[in-house]
Formats: sequence, structure tokens, C-alpha cells
Amino acid sequence: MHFGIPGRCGRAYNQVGVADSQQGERMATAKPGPSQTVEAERPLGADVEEVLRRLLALIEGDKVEEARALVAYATQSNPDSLALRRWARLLRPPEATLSIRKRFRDTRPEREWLNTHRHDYPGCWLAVANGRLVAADPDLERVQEAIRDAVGDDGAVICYQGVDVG
Amino acid sequence: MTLEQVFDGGCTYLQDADIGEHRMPLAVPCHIEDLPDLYYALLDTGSSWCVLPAAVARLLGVTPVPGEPTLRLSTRLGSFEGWLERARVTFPADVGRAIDVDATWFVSWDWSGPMVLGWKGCVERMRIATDPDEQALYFARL
Repeated sequence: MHFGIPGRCGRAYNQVGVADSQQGERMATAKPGPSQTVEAERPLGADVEEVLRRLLALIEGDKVEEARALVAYATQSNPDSLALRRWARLLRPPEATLSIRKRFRDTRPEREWLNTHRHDYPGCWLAVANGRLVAADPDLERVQEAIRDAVGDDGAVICYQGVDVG
Repeated sequence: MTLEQVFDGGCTYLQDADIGEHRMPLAVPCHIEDLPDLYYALLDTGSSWCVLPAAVARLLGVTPVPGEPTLRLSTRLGSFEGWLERARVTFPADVGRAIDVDATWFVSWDWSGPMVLGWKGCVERMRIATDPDEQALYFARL
């Protein structure tokens, strides 16, 4: 796949939209022709708006590794761009660490209830607390309201039960 | 052949969740940030991103960045406009230690499906194993 920008003097980009370094060196030694401008020689990473457009296209095309490589390259060229830094953070591979969460509950009663009964509520979000059903509704916000009314911030176990297709 | 792996913890999943016309085998318990509720989310290694239901996004107070174009992602439930967010997901442990994952979520106000844990957004950098006999998911940091 080629991400060269039409009309930009044939600069080559690899699969992540990053300028090909060897060709860049070759081009750097050539004198600009009449149709070549300084703007046309700017590497992709320098044009934040263009990078963002390509990032969105890569993400929408499910090309996550290419998007990660592009944002890493462009962030080096534009370290002060808040938009690129935000995208770099969003696209960073997930990192697993030991949990900092303090509070966990034994949810075996809720799990047992769900294992036994959840198929009786197709198309619903289910909330279970203290081993019993608190709410069942297709609207998760209504279920969350019911949880707060019933158990406050003690919390519930929430599960989406889709339509049973047998 | 004997293979040995070390895990930080393990939890019990729900089997055979039905999501629309698609049956998805693993619904995994997780906490999102500091919200008090425990959610069962569908572990879908075919999905790149995690998907956060709009109601949970509202509880977290996340909104799209003003002026930033939206993403349109194709899913098995259709095509949805939204944006990406980073939020911590915690896998509680029935055995061993719980782990947190700094995960990337697709958020769409229109998403009508379940909470989803995707590959690039969450699972990619974890060691996981399942034991169907125990309905157990084992997990570890890399």
C-alpha cells in the first residue's frame, strides 16, 4: 500500500505513511525542479493535520500497528502537538500491572444467579446484588439508576444478556 | 510435553453469552476505573478495540474532544460513530492477584451492544489462559 500524497513531487512513504528514509536521502541530494516547492518537501510527520487524517483512516481501516507507527514517527517531528500526544497515548499498547484497586467483593452469589436466570431476560441489562435481581432493562442507564436506589455505592454485578438465538 | 506458565490471578467467566445473532463464549468480570459496579464484558479477540457502553462513559464523564473528528468503526452490530478513550479495566481475582490494564476503548453514544474487551485495546499485552472445566480465565502481566 502506498500513502504518497498526490502532487507532492513523488515522495515515497512506506506502509505506515512514514517517509521512506533511503528515498528521502536520495531526494535530499537532488536539487528541486521548477515544480517542487519547499512545502512539497515537508515530511509527512511535519503536517499534523495530514497525519491526523491518515491516523483516522488507518484506525477506521483496522490498521492499528500502522497507526501506532505513524503516530510515533509524527510525534517525534511534533513533540509539542497536544493532538498527536493524545493519539500516541490512545494508541499505546495496553499495559497490565498489579491492581491498585482496594475494594473487591465476593460475587459468587451474583454469578450463580446469572448462571441460572440470565437467559430468562433476553435483550436486557441485568443488575444483581446480594444474590438477587435488582433490575432488568434494555436501557443500561435505567439499570444503573435502579442500582443506586437499591444498594447505593455498594455496587452490583451487571451483565448484558442478548437475544437468545437458541 | 509439559508447558508451565505463571499467572498473577484467575477469575470465573460466564459461558455462552448471546449477543444479538452472535453467540460469544466468554463474558469476563471486570471493573472500570473506580466505578463500584462489576461488569461482565465480552472477551472478543476478533475486535481491535474495547467498546464502552454509553451509559458507562457518562458515569466516567468522558466526552469527545471538541473539534476532533469522530471515528466510524464497523462492528458486527453495524457501523458506529464515536471516539477512543483510555480507561483502566481491572480483572478481579478469585485466586491470586487482580490486575489492571490501561485499556483503549471505543465510545459511541449509539452503541447498542455489550461491553467488549478487544485485542489491541486490552488483551494484546496480557498472558491469558482459559480452563473450561472450571470456567476460569487466568491472567498475568507480561
